[in-house]
Amino acid sequence: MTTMTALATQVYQVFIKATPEQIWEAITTPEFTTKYFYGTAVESTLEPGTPWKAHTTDRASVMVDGEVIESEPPRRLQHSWRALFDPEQAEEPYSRVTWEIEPQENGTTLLTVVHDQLEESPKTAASVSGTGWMTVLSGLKTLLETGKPIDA
Amino acid sequence: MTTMTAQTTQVYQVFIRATPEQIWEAMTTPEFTEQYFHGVRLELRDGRRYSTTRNGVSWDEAIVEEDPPRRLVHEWVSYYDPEMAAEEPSRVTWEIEPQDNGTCLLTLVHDRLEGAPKTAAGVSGTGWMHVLSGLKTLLETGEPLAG
Repeated sequence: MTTMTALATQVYQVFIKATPEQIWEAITTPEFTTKYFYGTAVESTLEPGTPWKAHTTDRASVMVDGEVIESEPPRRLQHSWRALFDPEQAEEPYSRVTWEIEPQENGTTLLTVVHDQLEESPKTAASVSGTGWMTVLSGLKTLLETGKPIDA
Repeated sequence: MTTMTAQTTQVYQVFIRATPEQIWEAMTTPEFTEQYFHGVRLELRDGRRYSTTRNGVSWDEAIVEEDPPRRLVHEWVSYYDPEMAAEEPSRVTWEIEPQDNGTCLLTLVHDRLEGAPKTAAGVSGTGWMHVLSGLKTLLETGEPLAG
């Protein structure tokens, strides 16, 4: 994040005043994801081995392509990741994204996103580093806590 | 954060739906800070940053740079723990950058931790994100993160 070479394992975290179930719904339902995930509609049956895709809002094209690796509602979702919106990133191998949802004792929930297996995908690693994932997590937190998108 | 040895430069970021002035006020006013900063009341006075815990323990650190409402740099000593308090001071930088969409990016950099390995370990992991998450919730909803 502060180095010139983006890390091959990137970790992003945020505490949210919401239940694990609410967070699970927000990360797996297109009605929610269009409001904080760069406008994309995430579609997936969440069955391991089936597709995980982030479509443009009009469903005309796929921005990010992947496959569900592990799904354990409402605690853990793991899927592969290949960014199709950029031709150079689309040529790189799949990387991996893990969402972990951990309830805390005080009524909040810790959401951790780990984007790893980026060793062979330097352009993807650079693209998702910096504020990329925090834009998503900040927007998700605002949506769940206020009912509105962060830029509304 | 993912390694066993805590990093000597740690970066934490969050986007907040608020103005730079609102974020600055929340960072520097005790009535705000006690609601998200582990209960600590913080005040900037005469070039020092004063901290007072709920138990009445207090200390102060040097302010290196104060440029409201955009940038605050101050020394950091974890006085709340005797072992950490004995280490060399490290440095914390808060940067507030307004975005095009009515939000601000708040970036917190905790660095110069080379001479403070226990402090580096103590503040790594979820420590700073707990503070930043609480600050965001307080500004956007008017309520503390943890009820």
